[in-house]
Amino acid sequence: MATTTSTDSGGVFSFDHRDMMVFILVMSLHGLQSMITELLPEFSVGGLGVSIGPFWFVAMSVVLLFRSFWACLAIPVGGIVFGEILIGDFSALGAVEGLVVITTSWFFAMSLVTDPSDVKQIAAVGFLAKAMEETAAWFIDVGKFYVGVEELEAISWLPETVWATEGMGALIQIVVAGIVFGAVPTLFLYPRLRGKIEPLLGMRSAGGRDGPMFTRSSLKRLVAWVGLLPVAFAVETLSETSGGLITFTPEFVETYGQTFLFVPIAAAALIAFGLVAYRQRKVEGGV
Amino acid sequence: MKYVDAVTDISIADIKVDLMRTAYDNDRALLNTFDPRVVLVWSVLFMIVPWLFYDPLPLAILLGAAFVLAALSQVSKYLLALLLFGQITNIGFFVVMVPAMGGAIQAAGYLGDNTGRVTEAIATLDPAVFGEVWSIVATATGRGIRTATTSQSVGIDAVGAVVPFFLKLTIISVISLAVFSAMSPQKLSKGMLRLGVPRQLTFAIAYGYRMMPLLVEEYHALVNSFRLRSEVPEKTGFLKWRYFYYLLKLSVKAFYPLIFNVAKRARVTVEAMETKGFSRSLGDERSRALRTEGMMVRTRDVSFVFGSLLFIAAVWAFT
Repeated sequence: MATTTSTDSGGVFSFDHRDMMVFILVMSLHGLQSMITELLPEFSVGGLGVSIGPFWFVAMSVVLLFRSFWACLAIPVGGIVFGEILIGDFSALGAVEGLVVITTSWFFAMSLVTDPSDVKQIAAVGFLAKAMEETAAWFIDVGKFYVGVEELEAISWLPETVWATEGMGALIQIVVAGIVFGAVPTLFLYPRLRGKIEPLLGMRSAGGRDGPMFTRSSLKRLVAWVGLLPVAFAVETLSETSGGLITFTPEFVETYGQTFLFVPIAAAALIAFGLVAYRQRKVEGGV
Repeated sequence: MKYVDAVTDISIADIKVDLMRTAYDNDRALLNTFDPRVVLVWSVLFMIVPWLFYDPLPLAILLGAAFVLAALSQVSKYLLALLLFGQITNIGFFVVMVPAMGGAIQAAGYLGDNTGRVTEAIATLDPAVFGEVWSIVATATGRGIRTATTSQSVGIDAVGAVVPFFLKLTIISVISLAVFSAMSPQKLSKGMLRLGVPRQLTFAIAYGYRMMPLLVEEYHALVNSFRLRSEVPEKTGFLKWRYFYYLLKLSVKAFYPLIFNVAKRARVTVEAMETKGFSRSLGDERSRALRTEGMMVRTRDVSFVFGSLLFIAAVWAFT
């Protein structure tokens, strides 16, 4: 049986043992890739720190072979688990951004595949997914500067510099990760994997479809990509709203002195201590 | 070149040991002794806190505290060094980039002011007017270069503005390093499960924890077998680029057999999981409760959270 293809709208998010296999496969491979490329100093040229981009061809080939929602989700999850949590370099809120941006970008790009035996189309679609992802990350990174730097606009040329440098970074990523380590190796890897790896997992190759590349379900996914970008950004900059709440307090601070801050904390601590001590005694007394 | 060699000669074995230590040797770390849910909520809270400060002094104090926490959690020094190096170069970058950008903007602005004359020159195709275009471009370039070389103060202003920003990012990274290299992945996935994260995702963490050494070992073996069967380029070329290119090609090629091995392993894993009824237990509340029983928030967890909150309040009030 084929895996869920991009065309059937019902059951795209359902989860059976085939999806589980694909999820584990993509997660392990992409995770291992991100860990290796993040850690090996051998791959930086001299002391210049020109690091080699991630091996995106792994994700491109495997995800586009199976083309399910869970395969898309497995890309960021693999990166987070292997490249961040296990190493210890976990960017909690940044990880949510990656989860949303990468998954939606790939989920959209995947729906454009009409002929899975056409390697060029596959490579182009994979490149598009990477480009969408980096563009989204560009806007989010610049937004972070606007939130995190006080009076960014007041310093001449700083906003332009931020836009330009982050944009250059995104462009380099698109070229290095999208083309050099993405689309080009995919051209060689994908045809060698297709038809060989699916039987190993007890599946048949995902089929193609007729009709135009851009269908109604593609449109829906594109809308989801556009709609979820602000969500990703909002998660990144949760601080903005909490900052608004905190700036409300200085009135109290002026009236009662700065030590007023300790009053709510002490009160909350007392209540929490009481509750926990009570529950602990009940559990330990009951046993 | 001695110093460069010291940096590039860190062997894969060293990194592997460091990595394994980070991921597996953490029973005695301070943060590992707390309830995972409390640590998770705490870390989310403290990834927001640095954003509330804009002055360098309180941020520097927070960074100091984060380093203390990192030391208590036995964070890998290699990772810390990598992180600090990245942030410092990021800041240094702005000293150069902002004046350069200013120069470019000045030049573009001057060109923009004179677009009328330039278009006129192109429309008429008069050689005399072309000379004028040339002088406009030359003036624009001159202005750009002059601005870029004379406006170092703007660059320093910009660094003054972005230093707190990068301090915030560094604090957050150091805290997350401390938290996630201290907490063991089983504890972490249990805590996330209890907080309502879908089981498919918490499973991924436990699976990665189990599989990481196997996969790294397997990849290393594949690369080594490719190296045995191939020839190292005789001429290494400028900056050894031929040698690096050779290694890079090997590491790309080694993924091909790896993909098949991982696929086989994924199938076996899922079959074993289905034998134990994984899919049936996915949405079952009783299974979730069974897996996470024995977790309890204790008074020491609460003292940890409120102690650090009081610390933040003190920083807020007295700086």
